[in-house]
Amino acid sequence: MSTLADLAAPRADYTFAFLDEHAKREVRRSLLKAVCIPGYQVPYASREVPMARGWGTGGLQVTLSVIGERDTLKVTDQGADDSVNAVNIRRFVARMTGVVTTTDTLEATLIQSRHRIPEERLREGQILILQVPLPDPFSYLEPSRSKARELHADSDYALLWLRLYEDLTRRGEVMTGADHPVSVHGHYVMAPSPIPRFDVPKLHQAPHLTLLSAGREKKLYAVPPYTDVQPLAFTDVPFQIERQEGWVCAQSGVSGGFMTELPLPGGGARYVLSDTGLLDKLVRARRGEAVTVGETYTELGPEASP
Amino acid sequence: MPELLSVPVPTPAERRNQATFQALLRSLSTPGRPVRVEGDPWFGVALALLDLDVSFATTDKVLAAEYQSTGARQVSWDQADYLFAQQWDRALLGDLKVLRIGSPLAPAESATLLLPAELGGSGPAFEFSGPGVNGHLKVHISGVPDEFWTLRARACRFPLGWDVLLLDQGAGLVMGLPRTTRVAGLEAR
Repeated sequence: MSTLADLAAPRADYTFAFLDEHAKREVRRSLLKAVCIPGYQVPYASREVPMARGWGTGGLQVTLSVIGERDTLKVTDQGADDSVNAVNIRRFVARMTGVVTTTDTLEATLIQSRHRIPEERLREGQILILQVPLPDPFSYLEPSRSKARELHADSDYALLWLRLYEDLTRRGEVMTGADHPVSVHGHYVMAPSPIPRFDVPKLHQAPHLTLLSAGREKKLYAVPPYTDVQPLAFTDVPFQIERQEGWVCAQSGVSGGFMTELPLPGGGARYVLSDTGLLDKLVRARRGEAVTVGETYTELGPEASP
Repeated sequence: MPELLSVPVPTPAERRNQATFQALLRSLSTPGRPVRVEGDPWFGVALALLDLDVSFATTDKVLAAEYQSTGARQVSWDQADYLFAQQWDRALLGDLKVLRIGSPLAPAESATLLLPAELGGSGPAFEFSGPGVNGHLKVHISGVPDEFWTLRARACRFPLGWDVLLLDQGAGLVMGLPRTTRVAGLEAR
């Protein structure tokens, strides 16, 4: 007869990947349904994690539920691997799982990101986990969650179209900035998280799996690989990405990637690539080190001297 | 947070559940491609998905006891979240007509169906397309009655429908068949 000691797991300070098995299983079941219904916001329990709601707890719970010992993790915040949010999440997951971490998009199997999709093309098998503050594109337009759910069920996105139209009539252009609403698989319209419009086309027919999760709002959703993702745009006013023509990265000398604008004292600005993982590799390549730079979504302009 | 003396190590059950879940996630996000699962999928997949928050139905009395040990409630086919059918028969095809397909307000409150099939062989060919499939994919699946595909086409009206995981016990493979996948028969079966 087995004793209680035989049945119990050995004593440990923390469970592997922090969340207990029951919490993980709940997130996992929701993720599987999310993949089956692209763009639909699946409710989930959203447990406590040692981080304040609104700081990436949704993304973190998905990462903790998906990750295994053999995964390689990259965490970025607005493209940066070295910001406080990214460093803390990466260190926390590494302590709780012992996985290898990286800043190189090509090496990562899991990429948790806040507000950016890396510049180097993601490939089949990679999983991108986006942190989402407001999962519902109706957030600022329809105060009732129940009513918003009905609008999604009816595929009635007139409010979103009206918002785009009002932008056009008042300001002459669509003012969504980040988080431009996208239609997924021709049915649900979803918030792609506050990625710049520059990143939105990267989701269309992408070879990788994208998981999006909002911890505070307790919703998660997904874009499977090779799925249609179309930004909402009028036929006579095409979707436009941010205008960054002529912006050259001050550290790597390339143009064409998404840039961070750094204001200079006394006016003017300098620009650096927002994707620091790529920037690091480009700078090392300039110094003559052997690095592998992957194919990028947008063609990087010719190198000018920085 | 103070430094930990050691990194947490998964228990064998946690390790198995995580690996099984990643296999299920990959199989449902790439329909038509068989994905390897460790051990007997009829146990492994159930243990990775079931607990006291969900319900199940099964045709197998022996496995029913195992599944109940997870805390999941055994209910009728028209109410279950997860349905495990280890054998194809006439009664099963009748049962498929009553599965939960979700509602327009809650399409995720729908059944997930686990069915036996032989994957990766040279059985009847189908052409898969839709999310997760790069263009079109030729897939060989044997051991699934023709009537199943008709029933599935009738039940799956996006966003409503049920999702299927085809399990090949002999080969240790799982293939995802989410409601979004369009399936066309390629040759007379």
